[in-house]
Amino acid sequence: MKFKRFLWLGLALCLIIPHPYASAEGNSEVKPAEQVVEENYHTVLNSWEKKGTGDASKFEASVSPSDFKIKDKKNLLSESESKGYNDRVFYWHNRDSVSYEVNVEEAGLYELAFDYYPLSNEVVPIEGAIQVNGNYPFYESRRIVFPADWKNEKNTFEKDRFKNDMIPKQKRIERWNTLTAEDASQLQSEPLRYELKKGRNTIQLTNLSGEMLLGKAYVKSPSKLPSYKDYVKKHENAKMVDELITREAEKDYEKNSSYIRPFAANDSSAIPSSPKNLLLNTLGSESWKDSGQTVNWNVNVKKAGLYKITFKVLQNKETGGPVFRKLLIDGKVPFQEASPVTFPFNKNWDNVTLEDEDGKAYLFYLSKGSHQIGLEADAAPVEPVLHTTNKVMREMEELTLEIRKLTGNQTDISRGWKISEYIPGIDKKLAGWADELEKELNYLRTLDKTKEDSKDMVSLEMAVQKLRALSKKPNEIPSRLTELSEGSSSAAQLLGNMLVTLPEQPLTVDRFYVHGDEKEVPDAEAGFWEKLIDSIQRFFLSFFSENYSASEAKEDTLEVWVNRPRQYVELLQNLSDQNFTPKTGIKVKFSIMPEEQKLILASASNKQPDIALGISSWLPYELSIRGAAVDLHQFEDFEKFSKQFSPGAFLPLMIGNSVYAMPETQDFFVQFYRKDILQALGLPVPDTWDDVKSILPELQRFGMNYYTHIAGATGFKPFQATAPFVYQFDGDLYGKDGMKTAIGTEESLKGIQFMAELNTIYSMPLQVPNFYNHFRYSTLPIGTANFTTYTQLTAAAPEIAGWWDIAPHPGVKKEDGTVERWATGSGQSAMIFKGTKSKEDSWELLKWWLSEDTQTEFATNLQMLYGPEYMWNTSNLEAFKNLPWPEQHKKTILKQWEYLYEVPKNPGSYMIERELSNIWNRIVFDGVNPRSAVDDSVVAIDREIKRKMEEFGYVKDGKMVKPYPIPTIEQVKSWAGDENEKETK
Amino acid sequence: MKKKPNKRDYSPWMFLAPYIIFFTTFIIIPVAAAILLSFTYFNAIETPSFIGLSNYVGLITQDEVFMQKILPNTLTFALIVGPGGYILSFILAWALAQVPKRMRTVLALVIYSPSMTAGVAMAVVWTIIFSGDETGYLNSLLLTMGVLLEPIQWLQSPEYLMKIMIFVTLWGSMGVGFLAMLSGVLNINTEIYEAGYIDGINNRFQEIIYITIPSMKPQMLFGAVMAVVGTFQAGAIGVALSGANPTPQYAGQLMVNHLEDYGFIRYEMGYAAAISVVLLIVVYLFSKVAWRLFGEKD
Repeated sequence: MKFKRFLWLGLALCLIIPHPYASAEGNSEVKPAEQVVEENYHTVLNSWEKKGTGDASKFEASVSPSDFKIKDKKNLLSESESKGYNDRVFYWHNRDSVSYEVNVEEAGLYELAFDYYPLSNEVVPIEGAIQVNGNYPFYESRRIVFPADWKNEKNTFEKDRFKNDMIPKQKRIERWNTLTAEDASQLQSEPLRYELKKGRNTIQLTNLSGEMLLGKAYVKSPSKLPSYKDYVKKHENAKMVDELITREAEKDYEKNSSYIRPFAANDSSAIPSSPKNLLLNTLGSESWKDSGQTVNWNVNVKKAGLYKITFKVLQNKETGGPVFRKLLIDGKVPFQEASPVTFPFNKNWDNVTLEDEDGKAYLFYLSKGSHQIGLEADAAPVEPVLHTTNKVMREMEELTLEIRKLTGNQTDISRGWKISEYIPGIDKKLAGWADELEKELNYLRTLDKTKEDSKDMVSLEMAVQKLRALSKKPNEIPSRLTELSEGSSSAAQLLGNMLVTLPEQPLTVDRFYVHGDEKEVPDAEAGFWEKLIDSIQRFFLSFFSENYSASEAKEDTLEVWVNRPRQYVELLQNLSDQNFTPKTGIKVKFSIMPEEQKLILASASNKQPDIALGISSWLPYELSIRGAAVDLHQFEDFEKFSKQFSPGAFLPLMIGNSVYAMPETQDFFVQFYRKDILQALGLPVPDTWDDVKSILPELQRFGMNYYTHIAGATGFKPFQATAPFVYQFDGDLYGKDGMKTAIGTEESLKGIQFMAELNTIYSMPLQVPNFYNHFRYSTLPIGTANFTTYTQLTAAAPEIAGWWDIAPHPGVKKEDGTVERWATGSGQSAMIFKGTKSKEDSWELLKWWLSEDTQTEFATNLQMLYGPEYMWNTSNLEAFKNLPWPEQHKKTILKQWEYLYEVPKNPGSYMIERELSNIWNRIVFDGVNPRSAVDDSVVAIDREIKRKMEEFGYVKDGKMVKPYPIPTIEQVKSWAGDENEKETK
Repeated sequence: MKKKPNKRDYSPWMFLAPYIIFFTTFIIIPVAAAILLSFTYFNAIETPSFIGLSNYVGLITQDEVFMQKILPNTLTFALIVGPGGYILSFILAWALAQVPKRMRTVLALVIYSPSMTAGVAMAVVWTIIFSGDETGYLNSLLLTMGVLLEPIQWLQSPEYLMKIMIFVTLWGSMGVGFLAMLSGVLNINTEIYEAGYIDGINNRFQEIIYITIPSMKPQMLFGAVMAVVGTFQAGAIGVALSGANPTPQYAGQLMVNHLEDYGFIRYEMGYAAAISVVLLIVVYLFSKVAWRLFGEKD
């Protein structure tokens, strides 16, 4: 039970993001917080059923905002400010809360609903929490989402310069909506119910994020949908209409999620299709797979009467399982049976007519005029499976930890355990899980109408088998943990993977028909000959396609090569066409750069573009020292502009006082940790390396360890892995004048020695090919990693969602108590080439692109169009603050960025990088004394630097001609200071 | 209908043209360019400038890594993998020739297939096998068997890297040379063996020495040249296994890696060209040796 408490604690803490506790900032210890132990809705619902608490009988009441109890009366807006709501409204924002009272005549279950008008115009979701009589009745009530509706700005697709369709801009529909409080993950088929006692009840609605206007609040008894029988009876007099209304799915619709988007299906069966160009001809696919995502198509009905509805869909969900959709007519489910309808797996396009189990098509009554026909992705049918699986997995993890505590870091296979003596009933426990899961498996099978089992069912079945096998030989469990919970084929992992794919409901819709009996619906698939001709055409046309490929631009057009995938380039071109070119009159052409090495060849042959974006941060230096880049420091407003970026990010892009590129994106090295594991082991989150050392023994006792970037790198350890240690210990890589290395100084040596000791004395792992997986399997529950891991964990680790957090990089405590956390953060950069047509125009473009507004808009658009996993780690600090990321994480990252120190370069810095790697290697593998390992390397480095300095004219005949000043953070910071001085003069 | 006698007949040139064109564009011009570049300073961006023999002088007198690591590594690697792979090819080819046809075809395909897949692609498979954490196949196997107590860093530790490189390359070295030898062994007239036995050969070893090898000299030569060229040009494997150029402590650094190091990390194309010319000379010398051994002397 105790573990379960932790569980809810953890879950609650991180899911509700702006929770005061979730900050690890300042305090290095995770203190036990107050316990938050609400059950989840599924369990509460069951307990109501057991207790006999039923739905209230017909009741409806509403409370107008004037009657709300509000702290600050300013936020109660007058009718004139209400955006067309004929009453006063409440401006609900900034963690405000409102409460109101209702009198009900009968104790029982009620639904709560609200009128609202979304205000915030970003992708930040509007979220709130509902308390009834001072308590959260169940966990789901801590997060209620108020969705905003979106539509395409235009209903025709604009073409890009290759005549391909472009995804239109998204626009929020501004209007009043009504929401009946629902589960935020949309796994419940009906709105949430709240238990109200007889008499006066207080309901409180607290804002978590976003802004909206709040109108009336309603309390009503749960409504029941009519059955199809009743529905038909109601429309007995209506007649079937002989019409065929055809609607293309990709146009004219409203949706409640901005990133449901049209796709270009390269398939002659999709309509319209062209072998030559990419036409956006279908809607949905992978962008429409989350439960609750809804699309409503506008349909104009000419004759009132009964209609059938047929969707032309491609349901090729990767796992081969069925997909569920609720059918909505004018935003409401017309009858029970339509919630949900099933779309079975089919590799080909298929016309799915909505019908009952016997194959009789449902008839829908539509009156004359305009209607909305909609589909809502619905994972509710699989919710029981998810619930059970989640429960089993948590218990499994708990058991594993228990076993680990018992056996310790024990890999000896020949040692036997009498596990049932330590953990009595372990075999029954496993068998019990197997039974529970098998029940769910059978239930899943009833949902699927196809004969073949989907991948999810197979995973479930395999997990059941594994559990059964283990339960028969409980004493082998300690040595067979890989089958239970660790590793890629363990039962836990199989279940974990299933948890990801099972609730996904992707569906591609090409068009739909609203029709009577008489008119035939066209075939879903194109004919054989049609397909054949189409594919032949496609093959030959493929020789001539030029999708954003780099080609010569016209005289007056800036040419920009971008080292990023197509979606990014398309969006970039779009933004600049809309915002940059009209304002400045500078035309810009963006192209995809296949490989950044091409820039060197292009410069050699004088075919370079004007600007390159998205290139690695080491490349501008190599180009600039060979005279191929434009110094950005020469522009008057550069210093002012540079203030928006981390000073440390400029260091590798500089030579002396010249700056040859701008940081575009920025990486961060922060400490990721598993809250559940650290709490279960009673370990604090380390803040310094000393803290890390002190938790290591405990971790290693349970076969766990701490991960650093050293283990993530392969044979060659780059600066990201090695340099932070040198800088944190106050060392430096370069000596005076930049002609010699300083890794031989006392401080640097201390850092290097510590870095090696982590492996030699403290037994940190030497190589970890995939931290993300080890983190999920909890073998490495803590470690320092970067943006990539962050994205992976946010997007692709649902089984530990909310169970992990980030903290700043551990560092070295100084005498004054501050912690030196220096770490690198090399992202991508943007540079201007010497051969540019116009330096000024290019600089204008760079400034526009890296400005706060453009970066914010780009990042928002990217997530709006392509989904939340398209995170953009902009280097513009102001823009970063606006990103729709969890606030707490942003804070941690920004804090770490104060300690961003990218390694500056000199012509021979690659030699320092490689020798640092070699020093580590010699100490760790050959057992060489650190001092002598460093001394050997210093000789090699100094020789190479001298040789290179001679090449670039800093040294002649062994004598220094001019010094090579290594850029420093102080120098970058002084730019702002210089500017201030100028202003005062 | 008589042609003018002095009109030159161009038709042979027509037939030669494809070969000449391709050979010139893809072999002669690049080699000539490399030789020319090796006398220049060229930083990949600015125009090359002529500096005479400095690159070669530097390579021989200044380049510590080249003399201390690259040359010994390359020679060790080449001397083991070259002759080793070559002898292995021959033994396997000869052994395969002894088994029935259907089985032979299958086995030949099995043995040949590693060399068909590009070495670098296979390195992905090998990195998983030799991965340095407990989950690497080899480590995991040895740990469960109780041979090891903690995982060995196969690909990071300078002690093992070279050995693994040699092993992996040998595994993939049954290439075209092997196929040529197989066909060579199969094409020998069986009557010669019978004659040999009448003349007093009394075991299979003598058979190989006195009949098989002398009768398949052209295939042996072909195999030898392929082996020499292949081993000196192999270089990708060490970098692919250890993950980056340079390899840890230059333990698996071969001539080709050194060339790439100078060309694409330090951007000294002239110097890199000089290394490639040296490599060309070494390869040429070793193939000369192969000619000596197996060439027809007529």
